[in-house]
Amino acid sequence: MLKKLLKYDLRSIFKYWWIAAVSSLALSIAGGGCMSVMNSERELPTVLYMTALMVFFLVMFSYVAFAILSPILIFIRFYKNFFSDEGYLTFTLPVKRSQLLNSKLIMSSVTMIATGVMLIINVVVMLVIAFAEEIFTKEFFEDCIKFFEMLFEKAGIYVIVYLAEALIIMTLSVIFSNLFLYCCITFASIITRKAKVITAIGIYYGANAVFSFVLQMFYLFGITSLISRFSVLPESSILPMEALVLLGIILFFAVACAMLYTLQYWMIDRKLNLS
Amino acid sequence: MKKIISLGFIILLLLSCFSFTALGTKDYVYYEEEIYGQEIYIDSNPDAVITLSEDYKTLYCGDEVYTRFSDSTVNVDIINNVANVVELSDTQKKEIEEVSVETNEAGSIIWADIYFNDGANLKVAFLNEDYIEEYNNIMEGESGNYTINFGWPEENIVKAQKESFFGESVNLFINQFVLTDYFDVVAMASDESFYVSKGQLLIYDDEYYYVDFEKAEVDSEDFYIENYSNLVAYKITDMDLRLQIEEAMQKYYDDDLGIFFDDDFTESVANIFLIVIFAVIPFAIFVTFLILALRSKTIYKKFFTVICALSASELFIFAVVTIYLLILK
Repeated sequence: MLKKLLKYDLRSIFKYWWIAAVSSLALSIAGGGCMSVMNSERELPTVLYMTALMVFFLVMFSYVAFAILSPILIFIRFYKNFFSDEGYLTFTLPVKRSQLLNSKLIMSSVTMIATGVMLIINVVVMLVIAFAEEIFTKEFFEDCIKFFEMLFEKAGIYVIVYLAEALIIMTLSVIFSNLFLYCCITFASIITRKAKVITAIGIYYGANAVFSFVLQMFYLFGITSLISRFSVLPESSILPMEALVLLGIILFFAVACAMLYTLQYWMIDRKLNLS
Repeated sequence: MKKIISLGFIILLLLSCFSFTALGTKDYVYYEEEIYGQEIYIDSNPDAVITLSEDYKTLYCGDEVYTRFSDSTVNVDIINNVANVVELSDTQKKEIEEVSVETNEAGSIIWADIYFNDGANLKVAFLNEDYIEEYNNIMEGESGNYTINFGWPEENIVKAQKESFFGESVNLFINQFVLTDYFDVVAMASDESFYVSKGQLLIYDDEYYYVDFEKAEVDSEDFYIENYSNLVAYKITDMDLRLQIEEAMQKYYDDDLGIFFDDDFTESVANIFLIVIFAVIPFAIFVTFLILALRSKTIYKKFFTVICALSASELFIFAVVTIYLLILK
């Protein structure tokens, strides 16, 4: 049943998402062309240069718009499917509440990750077109190979370990931010009958400010202390220690995600009153 | 009613964010005004008109006469824009596009930034004729007193006779000892409207040395002690001056807020932060959800068990890393 739920959730998102993705890709190609025009050594007429610059700004703007679109689509899908008139149908389906929640979570995580990947592809496409002459050279590929060789020489198998841990941290942070958004929407729907959307945005904004402050303090004090401790370690133990610390951070994130998931489930299960 | 409360809550949140931004901006603007001053009238006389001689060697402001001088070594604390009207002669009007005028707090020095129609630019410093003798004395080393401003806390200043700085002459090897601190030594105008850097006071634990820029033959504008391996310096032997410096250093390091900039304090705060985030909070979570898991029976038991397991694992990792770092220490 989860697969069916997921199918419809993904379909509802991607029917708009793919249009934005293709548009941003097309604009990236145009942006790459404009960058190569602006970097050209030939003297160009001012009108042409200014047009290229305007198109480049439009491309940058499209990236921002595309990045903002995904959370908006997720927000709308979650809100409509659970807390609008559609919610009556959703909660009468013969599925568990956890399956409904899991479907939304998987849908939102896949959307966010797909958006991130698409943005990276857009930037790469633009840079490849703009700097084709410098990139597609033997020296560039040799430098890339040397870089990876140096990386593996220094860190060995830990390169793969760090990469895996970084990917897990990024995935968990995506899940955390989605669960956080869902909790804000659900909480707003519980405490208010009208103006749920505005209340949800207000709660999200306020809670985000608190989290940002805590994170800033952590970066200010915690990170510096961690780095200073690692500077005294013998070289043989730096890599495994760093891997362990990253694992600790992964577990910390996992605890936070689990708690938010439990809270969200509890609110949907016990506190939601659609009548 | 609930709608109004919700709206009020959101407006409050937005206002708080804007107020932080505004406060931040206000701090920045205040800082800028403190360094660059505000727009003032010279001698607080709004009717005084500024005029320039044709050769740009003299400036007149009302009854005051200012003579052009080279100000490369002169420093001031605050620069103000001048609001007095600048009147140009007919010849000057044909050559000059714009003139902007600045002055120090006492109005003893005026800087005129002249932009010519042909694109050229001339920045000229003028010194009030009442200060010329004092300025010459300072530049020729005839000034009687030297001043050290330690900067913290406020008004932490030492003033002494010039001769007391020139104690026992030594060839100082900079890296031989650990340099605790260093401060500029300046010769100030009598009304403190401008000053000229004369040297630097070096603090080495219990010893104080004075490096005179002229005697050491170094550039006063570009002097960084780290760039030198050895210098001609003077060990300060005058007991009065030593006592004054000692008291000033005591105030400098013993002030109430100084502790917050201490390395030990920052490290302690960092340690507390790490322990709270990675040990205290996970432990509290572990205990809370363990109790809840034991008392629950439905699907929530599974959720609570997962949270317990994850927080216990995180605590274990933290313990391993901490014990290893403690063993190494």
